[in-house]
Amino acid sequence: MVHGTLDSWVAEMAEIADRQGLKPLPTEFHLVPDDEIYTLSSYFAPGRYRHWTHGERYWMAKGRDEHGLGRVYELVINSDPALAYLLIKNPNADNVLVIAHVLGHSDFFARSRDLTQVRRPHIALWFNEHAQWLENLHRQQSFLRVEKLVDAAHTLHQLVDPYYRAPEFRTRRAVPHQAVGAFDWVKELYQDVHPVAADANSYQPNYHVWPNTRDVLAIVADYGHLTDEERTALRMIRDEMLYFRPQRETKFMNEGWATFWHVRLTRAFSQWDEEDHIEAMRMHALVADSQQFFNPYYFGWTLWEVLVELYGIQTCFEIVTEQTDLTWVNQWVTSDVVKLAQDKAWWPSERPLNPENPSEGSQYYPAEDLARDVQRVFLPQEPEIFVSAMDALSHSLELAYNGPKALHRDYTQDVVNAIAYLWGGQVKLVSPHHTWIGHESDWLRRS
Amino acid sequence: MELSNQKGELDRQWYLRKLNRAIKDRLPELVTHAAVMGAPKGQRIRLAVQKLEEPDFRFQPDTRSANGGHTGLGAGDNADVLWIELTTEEIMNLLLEDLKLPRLVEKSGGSLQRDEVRYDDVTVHGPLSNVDKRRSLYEAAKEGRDYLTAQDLRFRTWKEHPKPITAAVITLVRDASGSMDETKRYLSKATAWWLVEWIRQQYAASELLFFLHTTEPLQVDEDTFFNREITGGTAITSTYRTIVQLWEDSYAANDFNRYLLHFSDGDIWHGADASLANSISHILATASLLGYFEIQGLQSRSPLWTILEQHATIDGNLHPAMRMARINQRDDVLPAIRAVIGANS
Repeated sequence: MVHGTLDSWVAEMAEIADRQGLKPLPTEFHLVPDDEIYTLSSYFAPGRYRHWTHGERYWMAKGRDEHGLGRVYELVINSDPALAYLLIKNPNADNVLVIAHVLGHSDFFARSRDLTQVRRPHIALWFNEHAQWLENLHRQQSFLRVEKLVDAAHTLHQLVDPYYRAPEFRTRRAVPHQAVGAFDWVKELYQDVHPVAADANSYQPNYHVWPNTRDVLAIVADYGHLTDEERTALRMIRDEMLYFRPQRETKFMNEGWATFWHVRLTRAFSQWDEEDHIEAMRMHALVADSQQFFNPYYFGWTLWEVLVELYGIQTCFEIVTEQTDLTWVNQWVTSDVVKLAQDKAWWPSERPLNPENPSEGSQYYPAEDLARDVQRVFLPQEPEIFVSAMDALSHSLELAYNGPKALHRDYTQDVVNAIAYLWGGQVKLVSPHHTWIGHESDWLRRS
Repeated sequence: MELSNQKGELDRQWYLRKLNRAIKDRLPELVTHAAVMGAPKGQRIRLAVQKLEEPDFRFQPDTRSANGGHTGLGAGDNADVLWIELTTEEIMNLLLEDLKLPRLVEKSGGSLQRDEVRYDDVTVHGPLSNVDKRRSLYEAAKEGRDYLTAQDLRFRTWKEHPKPITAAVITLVRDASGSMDETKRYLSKATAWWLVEWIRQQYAASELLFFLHTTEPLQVDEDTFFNREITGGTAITSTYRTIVQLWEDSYAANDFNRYLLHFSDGDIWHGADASLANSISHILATASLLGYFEIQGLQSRSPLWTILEQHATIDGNLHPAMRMARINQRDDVLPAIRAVIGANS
């Protein structure tokens, strides 16, 4: 039996955390029923605007829990103070573990520079404001219009850029008018004529965007054919994307860090009996499932354990402050680290001879190969797309993609349609493989 | 409970609404599958539907690496497919409920009647949901009161009125000749199956006749129509003549809406003769529909298609009773059905 109350557990955990060198944010703990935690976890935060994708996640989370396939145990919000939601129907022992886990997250929020940059006081109010704005927009305009607007904004989530500045425009160089002499055409043959300005008849876009930016959502919110309310709505959605971006980029570190710390903190916890600790560790084993190596809890936790053993806790604090998943894995998953993890049997030391048919037997998994495979999984999967030209007169927008890999035909067409819907004019994406033209009406028609 | 707590549930409904629409849009691709076609009534059928996705910029999946060469790390498979279960009736409802038999006019074959419920009566007892406010207030006003008592309440109630149903005879003819290979047979049976199921559901009182034909017609029952294979050459004249004869004997044009649905690859032996022309013009004149489904016909015009088109054209316009559609693959089945029995366009 776990003794004491939620308050006393939190107080003791905070004290243990302090002793071990953690500096978590002040954290509010809420005990909520399951329906609410599904809602919160599908919205990622309290009070956000409504959207059907949230409904899908809600449905999935609920279904998973009802079928016993996994449960949302907790949700922590990067806010000041941090908000933590615990599931009321969990056994007390589990909730003690979750408190420790939450303190780990909270410490991560406090240390990480990226997360600190996007943190706001009382974030729920901020989200609520946005939700209110979109709700009003729904009342002013047609439901479909707003639904499609939000859907279209969501397609651009990869391109948001916290360092976006309003673009500087370059106007077309004016062609100097010259008196035509008798043999000027001969001179012209030898002159280096600017190819863009060469032809006076064909229309050239008046503005080029410089420097190239990729933040299409910001561009569209600034220059698209939209009402002011819609512009504001798009900027709000973009702000929320910027808020969630660092969390997505540090998912493995963050979950690993919290798992690392809940193991340590619960070891020192005193207000429970032996079997409660065992119950908590049973849940830990469930969450950090070693069968799935790339479970963020398991992978992150084991990597932190190895790093602490090899380089000390101070180094880890520094990593948390400065790095994201990508740099973390690229810099720290070295052969030394992998070898130690393999020696401890945390990371696989054997791999199947034939990945198609695991029953054929397995072979030794060299540390270098495993390190390379791990790093490959973390490679960014997002194509780099830029706004290359923008024209006021014909209201057209041109995007460019120069990467070597081909873009997905259908999805890209959908996204370009979505941009056309927001932009309200001609939109074109040019890639070495294919050129896409956006059709506004196709986006409206899409189910 | 705050409204914010219900947002998840509301969004779930929003999502399911969207999902329903998406399923409806994609159903024609899914359901020509044999599993649906042969299934007995009420059988639940599992269909894989793509999950609704928000598109984003992503790379074209590499077909080579999808087949092999994956390290096995972090490989997620088929997470974006959603399984749904529908019964054949539900599928039918989603697909064909908005269709009506074309050119159906009121012709009572005499015997068929059904009761129709109309709310056109008033009582003093009844459920509160049926209160007739105007009449109740009127009762109070008659007494000179401006409030209602229990005695004032009047309730709307219904009466059953007998309603004649239009009678229809629907004749399905399937080409069973040697030129119909396995695929063509499958496609023609699939189309016929959909039509029969739909007719059963929408027009339960109609009569169905089934014919197979080679050079000679053969009237069969439903089971044989879908299962028997005979073989031989193809001619259509005798079949049309037999059907016309049967109609004239048993289903008078004044009492019945007549429909003829013909499934064939259009590959008939002789060209037009006078007798065929007669039958076709007689059918067009007295029937509501001559629907012709050409199953994987010739690339150019098949003989039968040409003949029908030629005899059904009046002043350059196709006779309104003549509807033709081609079916070359599974995906064409439902559009073809829609083209033939769809809106009166």
